[in-house]
Amino acid sequence: MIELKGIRVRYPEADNDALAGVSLMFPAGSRTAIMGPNGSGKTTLVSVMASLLTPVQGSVAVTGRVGIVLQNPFLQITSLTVEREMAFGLQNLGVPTGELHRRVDTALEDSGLARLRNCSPSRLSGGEMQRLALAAVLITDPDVLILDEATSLLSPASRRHLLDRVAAEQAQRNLTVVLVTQFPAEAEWCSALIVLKGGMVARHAVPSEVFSDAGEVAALCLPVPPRLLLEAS
Amino acid sequence: MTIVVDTVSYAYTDRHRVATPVLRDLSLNIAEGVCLGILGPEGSGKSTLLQLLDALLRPDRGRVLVDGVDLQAEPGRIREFRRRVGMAFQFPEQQFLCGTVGEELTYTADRFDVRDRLDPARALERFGLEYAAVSARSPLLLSLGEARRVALATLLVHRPSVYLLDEPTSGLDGPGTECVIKAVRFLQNEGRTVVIASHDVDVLAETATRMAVLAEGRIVHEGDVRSVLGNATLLGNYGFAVPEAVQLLRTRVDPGDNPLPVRIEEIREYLTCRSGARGGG
Repeated sequence: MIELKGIRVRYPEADNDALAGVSLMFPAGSRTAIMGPNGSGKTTLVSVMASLLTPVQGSVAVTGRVGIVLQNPFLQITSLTVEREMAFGLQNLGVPTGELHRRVDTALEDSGLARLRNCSPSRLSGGEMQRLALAAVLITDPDVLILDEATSLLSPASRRHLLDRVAAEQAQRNLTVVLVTQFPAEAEWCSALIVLKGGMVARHAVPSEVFSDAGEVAALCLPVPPRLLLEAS
Repeated sequence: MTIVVDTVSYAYTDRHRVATPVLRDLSLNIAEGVCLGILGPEGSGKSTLLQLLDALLRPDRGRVLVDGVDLQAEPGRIREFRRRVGMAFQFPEQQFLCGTVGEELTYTADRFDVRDRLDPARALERFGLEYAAVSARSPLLLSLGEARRVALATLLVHRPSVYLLDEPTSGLDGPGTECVIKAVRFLQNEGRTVVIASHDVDVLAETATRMAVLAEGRIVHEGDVRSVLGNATLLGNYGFAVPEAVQLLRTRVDPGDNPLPVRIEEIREYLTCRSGARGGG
């Protein structure tokens, strides 16, 4: 569970607030999408939720451990090989060696990275790097999983695979999922949609409600699904 | 400017000298003025291919010929090549060199003394950004979507003949994606060559004239955009689906052997013509 109250963030030398008084509640086990135009404050919002950024005003209450997959996987991958990156989080949590190896092997298989286990992460493609960043967070069993456009460089098949994995985790335990995305289909996979605009919540609704109205979708600067574009004809 | 990729192989070698092959005997012709879409699963070699086309990487085997010139054999011509070929990287912050967005926008054009450059403010405007609002900011402090727009705008200022775009719409919002589609069409109208590597079949449908499907370092299929993006079996084999608009069109018409249009505008026209023909018949 994460609760934000009156969050205000302003970056140094900026003229406006990146977040201008945002209050939101993400209940345990929920699945929420965050959308909005470029520069509307999506990444700032999830950075506050993951305690990567301290707001100038407002409070953040978190129950459990938060795992975040950043927009740019470069910024979070630190190890010299794919295998070590996968093990990094578990080592920090003090997981015993035998169990650690077993879990790392399973995660490498699940993420389709087993054949690259000894590679340097810097040699991976953008999409493979995103798969690694996500798997290395999922393996630590966080209570809240935040994905900041973490599938932007994946093929549709890999995106589906990834969402299926997250859904399977959710079915097993009370995992809270927060998904920043530009893909309407990913938003529709969630039960709630928050649209940010200019650092404020412009819309908080059920995704299908928003994505049935081409006019509203365009006004919120979201990608208009082709089915809505064609409906006119 | 024509580009010929002639049986090129490329492998990344790590510090233990272990090679990971990425491209295997790949051959491809890119005709002048074409907009070539490159589709393929992650790790299939799309970015590596673009970097070879941009002469940032050297083939281990085979040649890349630009207007018949092999830059590896004639390294003296690299400056002329850099003037004429521009690239937008998958991670835009990897290509920024300057302290401010304003400097970044004109860096390449200044370096090559480009006379017919597009005004930086107009270039930014084409991607929905206001020059006054961002020109004094560090490009490294922009959001990913804003950074991508700036990187693409620098290409419009530079005005090369060939544009290599690696995932140009990734992380962009709806209007941002529209801007990219319009910019590519603008370049195409001017007869420029564009190569787009992307996972987004909807964007490729709106921009590409030809398509190449890349898998495991090889071109597994090449053809005009309708025949490739309308081929559900082919795309399905590599983890993709036909564009959503084409799927919808198929629920309304049986195409037979004729490839259906893939662009939204063309699909609309197609449907209007059909209903008109029916109404008149």
